[in-house]
Amino acid sequence: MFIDAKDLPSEHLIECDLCIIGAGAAGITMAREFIGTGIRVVLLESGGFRMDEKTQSLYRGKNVGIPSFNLDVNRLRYFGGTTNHWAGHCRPLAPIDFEKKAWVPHSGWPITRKDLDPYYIKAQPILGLGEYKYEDLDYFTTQTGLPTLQLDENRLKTAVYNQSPPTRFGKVYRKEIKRAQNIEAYLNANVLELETNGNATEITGLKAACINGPEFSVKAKQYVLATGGMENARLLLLSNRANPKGLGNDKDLVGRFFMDHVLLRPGLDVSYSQLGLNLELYNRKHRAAGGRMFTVLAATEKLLRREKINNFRIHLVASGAMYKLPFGGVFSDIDGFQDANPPVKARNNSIAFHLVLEPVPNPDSRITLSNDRDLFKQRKIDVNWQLSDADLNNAYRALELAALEFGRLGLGRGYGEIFKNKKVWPGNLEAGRHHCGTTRMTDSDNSGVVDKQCKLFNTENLYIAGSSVFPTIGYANPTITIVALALRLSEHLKGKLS
Amino acid sequence: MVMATALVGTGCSLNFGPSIEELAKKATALLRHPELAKQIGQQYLEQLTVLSKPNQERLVSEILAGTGIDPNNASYFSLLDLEDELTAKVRMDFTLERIVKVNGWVLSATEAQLCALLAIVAKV
Repeated sequence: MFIDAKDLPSEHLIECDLCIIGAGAAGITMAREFIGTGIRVVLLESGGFRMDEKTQSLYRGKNVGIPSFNLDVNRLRYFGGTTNHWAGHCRPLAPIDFEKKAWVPHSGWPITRKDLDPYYIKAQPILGLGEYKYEDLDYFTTQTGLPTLQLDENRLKTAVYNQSPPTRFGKVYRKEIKRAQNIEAYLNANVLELETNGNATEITGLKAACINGPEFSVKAKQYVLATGGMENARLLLLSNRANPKGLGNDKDLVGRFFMDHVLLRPGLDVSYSQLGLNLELYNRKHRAAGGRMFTVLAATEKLLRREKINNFRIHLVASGAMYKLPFGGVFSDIDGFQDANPPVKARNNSIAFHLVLEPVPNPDSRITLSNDRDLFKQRKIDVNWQLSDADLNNAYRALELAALEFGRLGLGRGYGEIFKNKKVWPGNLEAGRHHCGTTRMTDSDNSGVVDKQCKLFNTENLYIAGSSVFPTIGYANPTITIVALALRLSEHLKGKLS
Repeated sequence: MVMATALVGTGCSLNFGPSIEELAKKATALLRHPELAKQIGQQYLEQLTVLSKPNQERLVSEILAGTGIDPNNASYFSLLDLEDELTAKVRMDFTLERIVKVNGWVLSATEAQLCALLAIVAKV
């Protein structure tokens, strides 16, 4: 059922078995897993069913590092969370993304890809996707009748992506949550602080409030923080009565290792050497296997291990770039392109390569509390997104490899701003808006904030769900991994609570 | 379209092959957009140091190196043969990463050299 927290009496106490803070992809997934279990679940959502300006203003903060999108633009603070505007791109993280890699400092998850596989499969229908066939490229080429590029497997491969409708969790699962007898979903419920015992080994309750409304508390046996890659860290830092550094922050790791995908759109423009190059499998969506799919170029594992670079993908996007055909045609002459005056306009003769690069985990890229205050007089956040020289070198090499492959195949020549000066990021550097890493999962509290069950180290009944637990992020969009981890955590908590 | 012209030497021995200028002219005839190719060639030459700036002879030698064409016997090869050989070499350049960056473009060393040769020939 849904309850507007504004209608609660002041100082009301809510008691339950499991309290989930945040109703985005992770929070709603977890709540659904407990439907019909007899476990009393409280789901707390800051906003209502629609965006409102005052609630959304609670997301404001500052970018103090690399310029990026405003913090209240990327994130949505109402029921369904950021799924209310996500693009729907889905692919699991690769097995190598979970490994500790000698050439990537601070890499390594305490779980493997195999540990998550059953949950990835379960996540597919939740996200409105088709059959789980990410590694069966032949299936899709047969189904669609479309060709793939004959890439050198020592460099690049064609990787399958699934396209969610996209599933807006707040709309799609609203009725289910409403009907669930054992779920109370509170709207307009802003959690201000997690309260603990003296040495913070146990959460004893939480304080919440409505904007211009009552304050209330929740007491649960188990708590899950599922408020997103930035806000999870913020709430831990704000909950600082037992430890002035913040909850779970003895080792000053909460908020550190903030990661976002590095985007260059485009990173490369390729002027075609040949007409009639069929890239439809890459630059359009197709129905297959009960869902929709498309493909991207991606690094092969061989490449990553040989060259010791970070993972990346490249989208091929039909381009309006005004590449003068004759310029590309200079090289097409050598490629054996026979017709010097093809009957197509210049705008059809190039394709944009959009790079999405996995960043190197960087402890100096971090979220901290600022001195600015929100409507509840709580400290906002400063986001100091930082990238390293290694990230720039990886971007350069990724785009160079793409240009090499198109040249090798006689398909065209690549142009990129990055090739004019390899010491400077091109002016179109962007963030992917995938906020990760700020409460990272590791096997020791010396290097992370949560353990492999996503439980806060040294605090017995607080878990974290969402992309803030990712210690590395691969190139894949995070949503399906967020849902898979939420399913895994639900299973773990069912065992604890039943 | 490229005119396939098989030139057969008459009474020529290995020591009397085509001149560098003739080879350069033949090679650069493959470029159907000479003005743009000259621009690329010029930009490529500008980024080379004074000491490494090549002349026609050196460029011809480097362009034909690794192909099936012997500069001393080049008159026995048609333009089509030359085109085929250079196409294959350019592809191999990308395989082996024999590449150069010219004003943001990722080019095969061979095609950059060909453009540079045209730029030099045009000045002569």
